[in-house]
Amino acid sequence: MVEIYRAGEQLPPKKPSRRQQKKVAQEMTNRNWRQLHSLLKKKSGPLATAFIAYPRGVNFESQGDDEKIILLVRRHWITNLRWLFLALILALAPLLLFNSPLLTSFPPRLRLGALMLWYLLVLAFVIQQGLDWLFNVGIVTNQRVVDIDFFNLIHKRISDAEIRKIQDVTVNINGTLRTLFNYGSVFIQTASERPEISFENIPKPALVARVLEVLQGRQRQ
Amino acid sequence: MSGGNVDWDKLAQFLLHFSPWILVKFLFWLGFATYFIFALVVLTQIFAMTKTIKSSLNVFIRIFGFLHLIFAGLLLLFMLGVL
Repeated sequence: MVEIYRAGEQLPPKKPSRRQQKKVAQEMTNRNWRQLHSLLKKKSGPLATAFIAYPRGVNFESQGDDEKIILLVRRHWITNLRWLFLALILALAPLLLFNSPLLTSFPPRLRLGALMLWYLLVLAFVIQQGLDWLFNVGIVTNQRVVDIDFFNLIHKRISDAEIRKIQDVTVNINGTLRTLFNYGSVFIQTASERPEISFENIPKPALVARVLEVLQGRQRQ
Repeated sequence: MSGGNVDWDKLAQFLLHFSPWILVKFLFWLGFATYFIFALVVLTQIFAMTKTIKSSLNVFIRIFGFLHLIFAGLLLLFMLGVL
């Protein structure tokens, strides 16, 4: 059917071709990526912190040659306060118990031994918790998300999923502390072998979800 | 008084030669020895972890692991002498 338009009448907007649509989407993604890139750089901290963007000199066991780490996240520092507080109480406990009948009945040398053993236990607890925080990391690269979990000193689990296999990303921030300090969990549903990868109690979870979203957009192109 | 093949009187006399604190001392030595083994496990675990995630921090963590092991060993020797 032929449509006739009179002189001066405005023509209906031309439907963009698939190629143009693709180009616009690509430009938008690139623009989003540039914005995100500068935001990430601004929010990033040094190597021993919980949120590091483009960490220098960091790589992991199964990293590919052309794979670049975009984000490295750990549990928010505030989650360490609980065990630090417990360690402080345990460290101060002998001061309170020093005059207890149980300890005063010990010969002086054995009392020293008991004290040393107690502090060794506290030290072991602190070392284990510290290493647990330092090495339980979530990594987002330009190709995959990797979750490295150390459950205790002799049990580790590494799971990963390709960005293109991500189906859904859920951000969960609940509770006063989490809202106040902006930390929470990111659950990543995947179509890979492990159906869900989670980064728990990480700082800026919404930003991490945004990074994943933009990366997915780039992967689709 | 004896029962079966065990001479309980002799055993009791033998045990009386020892101070009652010897058991406590033995438990303490066992505690320090266990801590030394824990330090060894920590060091091996540090090596495993730093192989999985490589970063410039790893050198310091490994040095810490070694120093911790040396500290646990020296403490064990010291306590064997002191107790």
